[in-house]
Amino acid sequence: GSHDLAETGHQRRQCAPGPHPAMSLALKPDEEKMFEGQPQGFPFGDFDLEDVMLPEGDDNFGFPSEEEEEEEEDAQTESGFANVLVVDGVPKVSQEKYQKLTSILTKILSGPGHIRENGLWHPVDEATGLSKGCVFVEYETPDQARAAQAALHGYALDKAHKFSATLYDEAERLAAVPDEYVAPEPRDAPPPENQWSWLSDRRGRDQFVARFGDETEIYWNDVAKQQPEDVYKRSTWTELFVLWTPRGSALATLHRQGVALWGGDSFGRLMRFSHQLVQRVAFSADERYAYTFSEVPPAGPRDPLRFLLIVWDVRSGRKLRVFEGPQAEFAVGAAARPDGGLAWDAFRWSGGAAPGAPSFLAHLKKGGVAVYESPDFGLVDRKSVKLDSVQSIEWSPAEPVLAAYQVEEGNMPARIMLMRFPKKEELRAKNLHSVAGVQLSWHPQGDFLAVAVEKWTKSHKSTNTHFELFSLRERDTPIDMLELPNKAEKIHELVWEPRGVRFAILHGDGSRLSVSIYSMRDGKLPGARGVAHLHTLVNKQASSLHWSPAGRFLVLAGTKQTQNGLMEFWDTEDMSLLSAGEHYMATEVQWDPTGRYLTTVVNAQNSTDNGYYIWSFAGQLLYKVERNRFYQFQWRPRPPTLLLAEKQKAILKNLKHYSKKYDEEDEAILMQADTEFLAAREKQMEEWREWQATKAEWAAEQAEAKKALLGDRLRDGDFTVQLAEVTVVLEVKEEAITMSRVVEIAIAFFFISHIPITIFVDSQAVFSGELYHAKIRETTEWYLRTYGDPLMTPPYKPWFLSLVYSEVFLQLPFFFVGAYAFLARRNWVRIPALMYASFVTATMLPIFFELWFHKAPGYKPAMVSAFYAPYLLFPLLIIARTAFSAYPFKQPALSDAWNNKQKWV
Amino acid sequence: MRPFILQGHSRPLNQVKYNREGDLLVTCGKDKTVNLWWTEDGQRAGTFNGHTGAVWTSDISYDSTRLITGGADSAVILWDMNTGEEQHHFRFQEPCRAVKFSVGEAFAAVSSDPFMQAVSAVRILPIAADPAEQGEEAVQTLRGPRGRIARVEWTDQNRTLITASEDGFVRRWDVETGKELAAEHVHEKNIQDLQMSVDGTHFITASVDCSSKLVDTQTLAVLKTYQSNVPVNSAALSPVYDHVILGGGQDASQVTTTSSRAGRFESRFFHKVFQEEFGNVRGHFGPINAVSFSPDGTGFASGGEEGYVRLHKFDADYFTTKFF
Repeated sequence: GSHDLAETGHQRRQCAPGPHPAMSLALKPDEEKMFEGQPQGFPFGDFDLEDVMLPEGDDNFGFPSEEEEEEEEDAQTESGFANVLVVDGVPKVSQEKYQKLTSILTKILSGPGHIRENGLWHPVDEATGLSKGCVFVEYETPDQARAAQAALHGYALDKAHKFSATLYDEAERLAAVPDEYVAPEPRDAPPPENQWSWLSDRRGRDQFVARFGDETEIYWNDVAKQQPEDVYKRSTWTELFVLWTPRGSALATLHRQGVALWGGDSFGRLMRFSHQLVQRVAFSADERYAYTFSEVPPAGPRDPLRFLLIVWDVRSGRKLRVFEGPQAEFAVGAAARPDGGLAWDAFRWSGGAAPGAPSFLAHLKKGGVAVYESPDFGLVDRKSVKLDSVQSIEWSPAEPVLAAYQVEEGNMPARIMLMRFPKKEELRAKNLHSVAGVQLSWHPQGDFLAVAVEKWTKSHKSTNTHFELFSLRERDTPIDMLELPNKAEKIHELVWEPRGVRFAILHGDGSRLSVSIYSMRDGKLPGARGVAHLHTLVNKQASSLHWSPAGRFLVLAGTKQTQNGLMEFWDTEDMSLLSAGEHYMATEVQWDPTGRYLTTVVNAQNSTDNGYYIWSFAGQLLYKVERNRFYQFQWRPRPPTLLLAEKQKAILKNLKHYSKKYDEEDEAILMQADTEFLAAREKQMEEWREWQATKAEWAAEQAEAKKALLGDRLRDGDFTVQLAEVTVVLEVKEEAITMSRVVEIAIAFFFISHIPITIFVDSQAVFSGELYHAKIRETTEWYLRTYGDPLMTPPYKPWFLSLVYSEVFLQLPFFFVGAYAFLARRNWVRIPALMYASFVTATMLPIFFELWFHKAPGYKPAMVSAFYAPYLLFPLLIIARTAFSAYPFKQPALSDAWNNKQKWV
Repeated sequence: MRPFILQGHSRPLNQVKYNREGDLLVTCGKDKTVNLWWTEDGQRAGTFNGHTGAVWTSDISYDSTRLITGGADSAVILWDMNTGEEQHHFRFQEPCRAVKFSVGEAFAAVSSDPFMQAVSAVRILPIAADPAEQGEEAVQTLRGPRGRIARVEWTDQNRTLITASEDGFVRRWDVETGKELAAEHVHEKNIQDLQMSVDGTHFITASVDCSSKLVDTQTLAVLKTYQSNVPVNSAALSPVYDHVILGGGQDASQVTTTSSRAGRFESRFFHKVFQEEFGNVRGHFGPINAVSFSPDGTGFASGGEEGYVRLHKFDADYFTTKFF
């Protein structure tokens, strides 16, 4: 085609627009709306069409593009001349015939489309008086112009005159082609930026992208500083959404004109795929290929809904294959939307290709599956796989193995089939009867495939569900069957543990669901295959399950409207609940690629509380970010690790060594952050005080004026509130401290004095006399002789002995503890001290009764009672000191600014 | 401590105001009444009956002897606070949204809503010491653009007025000449409240654009911004600490669709300088329309759309905790 056009261009050199004298001539200052979107005051004084057509534009960021021509065309279309057609080969006529010819031309040219008012321009050469032999026609739409071009090119007006019609934009381009070929200067491409530099972050942090309002921002997740750290931000970066490539090397943005890829430290543009009104983009697992997808609006009311899908080579930006057509032709089985249209993800990339291995792209078709192979994306073996009434397909995430489900039809049973590409080798198939529906769930490493099979009961009124579990890493791909205890229960989700052999099922009816965890290892025979039930959690407010990408940790998320965003963090190793938290109205849950952190998001579905929380794997809330109109959060994926298995093992083994080092680093960073944070606050405070100082004089003037205006009505106290407040509080506090301190020391002294009395005096009632020094025995005897204490005089009463035993063996150890605790002001002593004191108070009751009613010669009741009195008074004092506050000694520390921030907000 | 819940209004609250000593609280609401409360025990001291429409605003004289109120019934009433009797009843053509005594109470500034053909205006009424001599005439009228004036404050030794307006502007007016001296576009949406600092050097605004701002009285420059995620209906400055309270919540028209928790009907405490939130007090089950610090800074009052006033006294740890 281009050869043809070039010819026409050359023929009509004389008519070709350029710096166009005729055009400006024809325009009168008051009229001539030449094209849609014509700027005010157009044409400008001495305008150069070059400037209009080729706006300062997108260079290709150093990527020489195959489609430069095409893009140029696009650019010109935007100039507004797309609806103008240049028709050459018109007879050159004199003044007399001019009117006649013009009306004939109008008739012919308005055949294929509507000419705009004053849209036909038939220029005259002023020097010769003859018409120039060409016409410019402005149609109402570019489409009409294109249709006219097709219809009129080659139209024979008479024998001598044959029209050659060219779109104005095209003519312009052709006219600009120089007559001599000039070899383009070779351009030096700037060295591309390292797209993986973010992986070498010294602290091993992860990145994420957040989109809110018009902003798209990329951050480091800086947990040590408990806040995100900016990496890159840009306003109105995308028109639909953003998407990380599967290995995280680049970020894709979607625009009206197509998809752009951004990456490197500066987030410069790496590549773009031109696809008008693109709606979706999907990358192959190795990031080498991508497709862009859009629905094409129907041209007329009878026209079917069409789609356009373009497969690209990501590195070169080359178009590899185009799929287009009516959506209905491709909307087969699960690829059909309820409205009959095509689900955008009808085309599926195969998973995790090994380096150098081909990528596959599959889609359903009537009676089969079409699988295309890179790099040219032709059908594998040039034909599609024949599978009758195929309903859905899923690629293994790890290798080119396709699972397909064929629906039951007539006498043919339903069938689940696994096929390895490119050899089309059938790994395993399973036939099933009376199937109502099937859900395929692949293990993230492709080790297993779980198929939830919903079967009609005999009455055909309800369904039962069971699971067919395929083990792909074993010979002949064995299948295990699993039935839940209650087959009729609704199955909400089955999720495999990444890097593990377990899976979790969310099941149950109603709002409270159960979570069951199973293992693909036999419970009895170590290492053998089998399905073993591990645990069931019941009555959970959860609507989705989220395994950590590293396995082991499972989060139960209540992300439905009524579930308030409840999150439960479970360790499945010992089935312990690590923590439960809440992100009110959370709508999304995402693990970071390493399994260290979890994000919960409230997005713009909710009108308020938009933003995200970052949690540790154990459910500790690390920080919160609030952003209005929050649309999207996505962690930057990491490429598969390059470390060898042995190296990974070695790291695991020496984990203690590493963790110590990193803990120290984190500590240092936290300290630094704390200092910086406090310094920043100090600075703010300083600025505020400075500002206040500048206002002091004015404020004093105001105060003076107020005094003058109020006169004798003025009362004191307007400006001294703060000082008075502080003094009062401090005084009360100090007073309280001194009083209670005296009591504490007295109690401690009581405990200390009790120790020798118990050991040397009271214990004589229970141990034999020989144990004691003669001096001590003498003193005791003297005491008994002098005062006649009835209790300590043998023979001892049994109830009294029991009290002495408790004193020696139970209370004596506590005297040491109590003395220390009251001196050191320890809050933990409160409960033991209260127990001790109430016990002793109670024992004093029988003792005083005995002392009161005992009658004997030489017995002095008053003196003996006085000796015993302290053992009633001090316990009462202990009760008085400790009973009335949960923290009898001091409040828990609240001074640290950082902690307080966490506590209060 | 548990707050006193003052149940004296059957409809939403519009303003709550302490007197100078802080022993009395005046509340006014859409139910046409003005209530007076003892702050010590939360007992109602009395009700001022006389308005026939929503009472938008009130102001208390320096010595707590007189009260001035303005309402949607286009009336401005001067009351004897001791007896609860009307001293004077001004009748205007337009609803009144803001009243404020000048320092010394020789004048009162009274704003009026744009109504029919009239643009919004602020009238300066001379207030006679003896109610018997009270006249009707305004000595000065400041006429502004259309747009309700939510608050008016006297400043600079009674020489200028600050007004907060529906169009998001804060304006300064010369009282003598009635001219607009300066206007600053402070908020994106209408300003609902404006409260002065004790020393008059700065004030705080509250707006339905979900933010509250601290503004320099002399330059009208914005010093600090307190960002909320729901409309802010009222904001108050602590007289003793660098604390501010923001009261607000999801708009009443959307409340039926959200739980009271999602509506964020909280009094939110921010640090005045660091602009960071450090606490909040829940309890209302409608948006908070009015907040006010007690003059000694030991408590605050909040009035809600649901008609309750919550009168709070701070616990000891509010004073002893080092929040920042």
